[in-house]
Amino acid sequence: MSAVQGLPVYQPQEAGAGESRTRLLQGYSVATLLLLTLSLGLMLAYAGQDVQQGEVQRLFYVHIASFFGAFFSFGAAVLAGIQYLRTRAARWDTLALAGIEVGLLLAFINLATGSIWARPIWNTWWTWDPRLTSAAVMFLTYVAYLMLRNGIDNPERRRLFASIYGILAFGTVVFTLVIIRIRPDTIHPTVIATQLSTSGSEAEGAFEMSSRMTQTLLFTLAVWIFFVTPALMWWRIRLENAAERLHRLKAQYLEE
Amino acid sequence: MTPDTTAYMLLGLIVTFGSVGLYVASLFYRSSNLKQDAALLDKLKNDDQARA
Repeated sequence: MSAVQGLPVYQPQEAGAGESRTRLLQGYSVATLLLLTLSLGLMLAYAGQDVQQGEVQRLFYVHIASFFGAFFSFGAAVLAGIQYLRTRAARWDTLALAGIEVGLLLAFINLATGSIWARPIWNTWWTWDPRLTSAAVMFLTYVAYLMLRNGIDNPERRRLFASIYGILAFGTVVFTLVIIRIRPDTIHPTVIATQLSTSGSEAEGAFEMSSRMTQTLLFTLAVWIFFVTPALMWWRIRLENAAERLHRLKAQYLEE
Repeated sequence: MTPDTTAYMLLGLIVTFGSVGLYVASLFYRSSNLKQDAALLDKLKNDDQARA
């Protein structure tokens, strides 16, 4: 097998280590799929139905889990950005890119499920509530990251810019997380922090969680944070590494 | 009385798992493009060697 065939993606230089990592990722992905199916089963068959909201309340599990999945992926991008600024090693930039791309997917799911839930509960798909607005700003800030990143040709400048932007953009994530507690005029319910924040506020659509609902929420959170998010990021990192290797081989070929 | 909001729940689940599925498909698609590029590069290199 030639060097060109051998190097990209499929068989890294350390073939043994590469193959064992691939098997580990495949096993991790299968476990993720099984746990995701189980969490869906718990949502639909175990958690129970909310009497006031009906079936749509079950979206709450995915809505919360996808937000915290996004929180962890964007958080990984911050740590990777800091590490890149310290070491200038490209692998940290790859981790940051994977974190932001996966985080965007999860933030989209969070926004979409929230909007779909709001239609029957608030009688509107969208309202410019502080929480919803801050979540939309967060999403668009990270969309801009990808657009601006792709606009810089010089790899080192691109990585430097992306690291700084990724660190600063996390401010929108923290803001989205805390705004519900600092703006009493939001209609977005606070379910996780018990019922303390919703009593006396303008929140609409809040509900009390039964123990089965709490168990389902914790399980779904764990699956999305510890399995779905890392598995997707891992696949994305492999893809980026493969693209980098192919890019180097192309440059090498053109020089010859 | 509990409202019938089943259609919204199904829509939410379709959007959620559809989005994840599309993202995974995009990863496979991009990986497949890289494989094609690698194969083309390999072919060009072999052609160059044959000519030399």
